[in-house]
Amino acid sequence: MKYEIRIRGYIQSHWFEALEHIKEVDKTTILRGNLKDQAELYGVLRRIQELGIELISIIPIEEEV
Amino acid sequence: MNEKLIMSKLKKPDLPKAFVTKEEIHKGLAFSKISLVCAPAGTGKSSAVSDWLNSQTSNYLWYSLDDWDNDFDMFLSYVIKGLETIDKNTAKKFQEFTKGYFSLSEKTLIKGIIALLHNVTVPWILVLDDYHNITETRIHNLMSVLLMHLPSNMSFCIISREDPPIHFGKLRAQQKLYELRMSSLKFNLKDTETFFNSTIKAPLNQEQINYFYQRSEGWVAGLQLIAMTLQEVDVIDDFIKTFDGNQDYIMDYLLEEVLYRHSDMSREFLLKTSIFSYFSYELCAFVLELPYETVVLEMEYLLRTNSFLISLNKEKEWYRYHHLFRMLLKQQLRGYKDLNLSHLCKRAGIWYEDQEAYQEAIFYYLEGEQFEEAQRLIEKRFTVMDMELNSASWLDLAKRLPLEYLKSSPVLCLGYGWALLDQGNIHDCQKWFQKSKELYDTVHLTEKSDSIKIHDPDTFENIPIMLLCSKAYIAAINGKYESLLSYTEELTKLARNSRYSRQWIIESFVGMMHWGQGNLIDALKIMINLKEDASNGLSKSVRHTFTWIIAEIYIQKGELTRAKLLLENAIETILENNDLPFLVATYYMLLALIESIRGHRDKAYNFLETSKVYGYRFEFMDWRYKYHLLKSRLYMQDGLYEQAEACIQEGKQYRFLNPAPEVLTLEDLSFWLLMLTDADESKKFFLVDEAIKKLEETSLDLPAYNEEMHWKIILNQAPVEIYGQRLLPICEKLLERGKLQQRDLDIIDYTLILRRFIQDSSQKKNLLNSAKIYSRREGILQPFIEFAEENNMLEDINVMPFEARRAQINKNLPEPLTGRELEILLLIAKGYSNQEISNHLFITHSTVKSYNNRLFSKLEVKRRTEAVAKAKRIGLLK
Repeated sequence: MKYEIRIRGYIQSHWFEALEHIKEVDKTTILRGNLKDQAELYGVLRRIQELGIELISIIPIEEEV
Repeated sequence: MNEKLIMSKLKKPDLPKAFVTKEEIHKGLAFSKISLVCAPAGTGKSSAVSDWLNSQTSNYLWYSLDDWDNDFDMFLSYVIKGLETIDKNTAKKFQEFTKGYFSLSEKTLIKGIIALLHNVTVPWILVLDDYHNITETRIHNLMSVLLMHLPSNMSFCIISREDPPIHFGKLRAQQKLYELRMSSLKFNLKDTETFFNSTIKAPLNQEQINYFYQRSEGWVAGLQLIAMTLQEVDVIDDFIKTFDGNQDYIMDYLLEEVLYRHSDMSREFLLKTSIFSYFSYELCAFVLELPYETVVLEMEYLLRTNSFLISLNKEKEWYRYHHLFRMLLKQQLRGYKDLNLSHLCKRAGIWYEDQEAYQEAIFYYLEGEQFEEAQRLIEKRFTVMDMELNSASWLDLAKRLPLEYLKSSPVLCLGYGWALLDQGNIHDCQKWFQKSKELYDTVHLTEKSDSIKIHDPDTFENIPIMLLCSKAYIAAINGKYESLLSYTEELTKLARNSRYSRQWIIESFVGMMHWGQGNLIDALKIMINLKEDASNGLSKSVRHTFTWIIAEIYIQKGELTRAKLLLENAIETILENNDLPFLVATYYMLLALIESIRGHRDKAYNFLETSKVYGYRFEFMDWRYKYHLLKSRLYMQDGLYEQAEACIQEGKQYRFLNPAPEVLTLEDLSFWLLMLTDADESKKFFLVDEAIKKLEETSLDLPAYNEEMHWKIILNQAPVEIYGQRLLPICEKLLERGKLQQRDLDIIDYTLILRRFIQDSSQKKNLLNSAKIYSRREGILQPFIEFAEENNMLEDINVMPFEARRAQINKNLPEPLTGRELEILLLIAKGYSNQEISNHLFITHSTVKSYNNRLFSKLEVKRRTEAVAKAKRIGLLK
């Protein structure tokens, strides 16, 4: 499943190496990538929380055919 | 385990050097007995609570939770350890209670623990820090129940990064919960100013303070890291300029700044120590391979400049980093390949192992992927932890090893299976035992193979014995006493030649084997020996369990007086010492059984009631099953077949897992009821035919001891004219076996049943007389009620006990009361208040009230006093 996770601020890529980092002009970052299952998704969310970063949205995106 | 190490987890962290007290938080925490402090990392949760505790006079138990506290056993032992400083007496009882908890259901265990916490005599506060680390549902359940029944002396505070899966809804609605969240923990501009003024030597101007406040959004960890960086900065405005151009995650940026500004030596020290959850000077010196003095200098420097280093005890021996800071460092450490994380973890493991802190040692070995070391240590821990009846915790350790390391060690395979068996998983343990045996055989038959690891040779040599033990245990659970016999013989032989440390288990197998064959005399001898022998290291609770077993054998034998004395003594000792009464329910049930055998059904019902009062709080093993068993048997004796049927059905939902043989089951009673009430003769023929056929098939001339009750029912119910010829010899032989094994109760049963098959009246009279002689010794009446042909054979039998009368009166009400309603009516009559009823029955106050209302409407009354008066009038109450 592919996800787009939007967080407040910019972050260095070493925290989420498996995800693509897109820096937006409104000073948010989109982390985009394939997450195997819910467990992996929660792993990412937990890390965001551990770092004290604000989570804005999570959007699952359809695979392009 | 290392005493200091334990204590460090139970110490409240010291406050950081610069701390801003917030009065409104103090007020909130003091106002409510239950607080939930829930906010992301680095928002000053622990510090806020710690600061508040400094202003309190009450005792407190602070427990910082880690990943490995998910071991329920470990969790409880930390709580006990912490409780020692608050109430030594309660802590001691707690300890004794939990020692025997493997035989209790989770519910009972939790109820028991909470009952114990109610005994704490002084006001105290329990603080669980970092609760988000907890995933073990038993701990969550314990907390949920604790919150529902919070002792009046106790306050409770949970600190967590995320909302724990505990039901707070009700408390919230009742406004009994104080919630401290991000918005209140955050610094405002004024807090920020106070904070900078107390941390930085050169004062900042308002504009600069404003800037940092905006940048950190009042986040405490961010501000602390800023302060730390500023200490090393010469011109603050220059720093602001570069900081401003960077939009990266603030902590990353600042940490790099900090590390960059440190000397190589200090940077390496910071990075390397980030592998520790806790550390002391000694641990650092050993793992980093530095002289002790160097470590002291480094730490002193850090303590002066780093507000993320937290001291855990007054003696300043143990420290930890702030979690967030440590995580940042650890992430950096991964980038420095030359610092060799794996090697550091290994040294940490070695140090902890040396301190006998095995849990931590294993944790570090696994963290550093030192699987070989972890395997060795886990294997060596097996025998020790199994002896302490801690196999469940051990299993949690073993599960952390990669599968290939488990499967290369015969001892680990054995332990894995053994621990599963301990949890009652008869099925899954088999393949582990199989694997263990394979590996054992390979080692013995062929040259020593490198792929098979043996770290604990003593346990390895005991593998055959332990495997046989497990087979014997499974046979006992399944009621296969024939196989148990051969296993125990083999075991006794094997054990003689080896140094197997748990001889008492083998002996109890032998005892059970005798019991299963109806040889109660030898079974008794062995069980009594085991109980009295002080040298076998049995815990108090296991000894109490033997009391139950011995009493049960006495009763089956018909030695009622002995059983009664033993039980009364045991109850008295437990209550006198204020021990936790989790076996008392079982003891009272056995007293009820004795009374029912003596035909005193009123007394039997009373004892059953008492048993229930304890049973609902502290049930032991299959108490519920046995309670329903006896109750339905009493109903049947009183001819209340409908009630008996309902009671049997209710009892059948409960488990019955007693490796000791049970002579009567609920299936037997169902069968009996069917024979008694189902008029269909052809069905009876069918059932009797089935039983006889089964007996002939097993090629035994007599049914097994634990099937005798089933046969008593058949012998008593089968139509004589058709089956007399075939059943008479069976009955005679059963009587003979009973006489040989001196089982008085069975002798009377069979003697009375035998009369059915005899025509001659003088012979019949002789049999009756002989039964009476046997019954006189202990006053046994039950067989006459159940198996004698003539009615009114003994005058006092037919007086209907009050319980039965009440059941009949209740049944005839337009709307009969349910069992629970009746129970509450009894408590009201005893003068209990609603609150007391709620405490007594472990239900909420509002549930009691709703029961009351239903009860009142059924009795057509308006208030409690009226209800009691009416119930007395119609005969529901004495």
